[in-house]
Amino acid sequence: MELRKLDKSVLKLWYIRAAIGSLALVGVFTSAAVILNATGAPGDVTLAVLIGVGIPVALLFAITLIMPALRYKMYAWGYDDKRIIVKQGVIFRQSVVIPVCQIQDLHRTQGPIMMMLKLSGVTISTAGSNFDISTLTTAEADRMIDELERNLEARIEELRNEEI
Amino acid sequence: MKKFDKGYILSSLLSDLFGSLVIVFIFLKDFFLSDESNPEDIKAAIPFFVIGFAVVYLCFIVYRILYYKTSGYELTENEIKCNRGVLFRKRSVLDYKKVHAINKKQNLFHRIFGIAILTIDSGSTNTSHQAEITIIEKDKVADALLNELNLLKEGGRRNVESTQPKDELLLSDEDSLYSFTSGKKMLYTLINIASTAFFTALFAVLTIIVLGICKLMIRQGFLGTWGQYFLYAFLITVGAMLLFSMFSLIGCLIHSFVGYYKFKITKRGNDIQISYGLLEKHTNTFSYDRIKAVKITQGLVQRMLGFASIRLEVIGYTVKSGDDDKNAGLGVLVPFCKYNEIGEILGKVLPDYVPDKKQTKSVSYFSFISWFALILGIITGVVLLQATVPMLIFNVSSSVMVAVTLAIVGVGVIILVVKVLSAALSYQNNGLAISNGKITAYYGGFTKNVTVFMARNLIAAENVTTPLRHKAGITSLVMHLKTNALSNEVKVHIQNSSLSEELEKLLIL
Repeated sequence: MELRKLDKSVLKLWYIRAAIGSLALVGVFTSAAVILNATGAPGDVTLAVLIGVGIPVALLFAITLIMPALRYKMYAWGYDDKRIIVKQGVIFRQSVVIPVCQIQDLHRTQGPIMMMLKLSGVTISTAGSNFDISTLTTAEADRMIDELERNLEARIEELRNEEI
Repeated sequence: MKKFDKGYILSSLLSDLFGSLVIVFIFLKDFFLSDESNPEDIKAAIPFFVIGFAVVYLCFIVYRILYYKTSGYELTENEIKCNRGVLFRKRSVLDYKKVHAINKKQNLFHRIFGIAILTIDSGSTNTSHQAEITIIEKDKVADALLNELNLLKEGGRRNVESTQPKDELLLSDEDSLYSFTSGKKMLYTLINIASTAFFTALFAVLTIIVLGICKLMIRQGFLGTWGQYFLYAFLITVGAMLLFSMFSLIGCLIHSFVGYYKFKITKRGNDIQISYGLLEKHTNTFSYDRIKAVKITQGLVQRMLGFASIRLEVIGYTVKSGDDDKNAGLGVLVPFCKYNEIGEILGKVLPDYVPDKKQTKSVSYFSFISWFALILGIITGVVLLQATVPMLIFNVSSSVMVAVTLAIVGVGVIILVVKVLSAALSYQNNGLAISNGKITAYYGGFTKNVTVFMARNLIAAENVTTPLRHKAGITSLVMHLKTNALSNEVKVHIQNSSLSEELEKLLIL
């Protein structure tokens, strides 16, 4: 089975999310600086606190900005009439195989930013776990859900015939 | 539609009264019993309390009567119907063939009024927080219904004529396939306590380290009053931990001797019945073919002494109490037994689920700690940097700096030592056996787990690796099971990557 890469617009979504996350981190750092300034803390105390807060914030900031590109590079997905395969993960690389006949429900989800970028998330529910296909274009998601529904019905029929 | 037994109203009201009195005592004991209580104030307040209590209790009475009036059940030719609820009314219909598990519960108040609660479940994920059907009936009627429903779930159809309660068909105590004797209960309690004591001791060691550093810092005048507050807070925490250990002992004793009173496993045809409990009596019945997995667990102390417990993954069967809450947990099959007896016990109760011997084992020890050590190193480094730079700015004396550095490194080393031990045990534990459509997964570190399940219940197969592990042909396997429990994944770490292909072949595509 040939695995597909995600659409380029997904990277855009992940960067927007990373930017929002980074803003929160910058906010933490700025708040600490403003509070120290407003309370008239001595210079060495201000420096000590800012270093204390700054080091983890800088580390998280760097990770937040690097991750989307790496995640995008590693993500691959695909399906045929019998199985769905999703590969993801930057350091710890996961690869999951979900049989089509085990699908219980298929869900398509969209947040406000996803709506703007015409993207959708797909969740595959089984009798055990739920599996997410991170983000697809809405057209891809719709097509995938339609095809999987058709494949599921055909597969159930096949299995029923095999049993008989 | 047949109404629930009237004993429901009386037992519920007695239970409500008891609960209310306990709550009132807890909240108002200071007002009535403290030294500063003014008799005049108490006298003036009593009528208000009595009226308030009466109004609240009246609400309970009204609710219980309305629940009784609006609830009921009916056994038709093909299905069981149930109505219940006052404000939010629920009507459930369950086909006999879809009955997954039937549980009978009796708490102390139910037993006083001779009633029992039957909960009947279809195992649907949508209703995993609540059983589909609840029946409250006289004890004997509940037993008869339990037997009748057990037969109906096999046959699927009910002869409407034969509605008379049948004689009790349960097997006698002597037929129990497992006996949880007093000696075993005492050992079980002591081993559970030993685990708590172990963690309390570990906590005490950490406390001694922290206290030593705090004292040093206070002597140097670095922490001042805040340091003393911190010290007091720590001492209070230690006291709380010791108190917790004591309560665990009492709780564990009650749990073993009262909760598992007359623990009995019986088998009749395709059905397995597990009953236990003194204050709250449980009788859980389910079909053999509804079992999704068997999980054998050994805590560290249990493992050292060669004991284990066996749990079942059956949708609808649980040990949790409560009205009809089944909270999708693992149900106890055997609370406590010798590890080498497991084969014999499972051979009698669930012969298909006897664990196979490990066919594979972990292929590398270093992989169990490499990433943990790296992340721990980074975190320790960042914490050291965060601590030392401000101390340098404040010109803190070198002895305090050394103490703080040693404390941070010391905590890091302790965590690493614990991880090294856990990794050694994981390296020894993890493995897999696949034979005749049965999968036996061995995993866990300090707690050793063995999960046995049928390949037909494997929903999805996942493998997790890193680039270096991929090159070395190492992977961790995640097996997703067909169940509505929260823990529906079994992870076997650091195995040969060819196993993931073998596992994928077992999936029903």
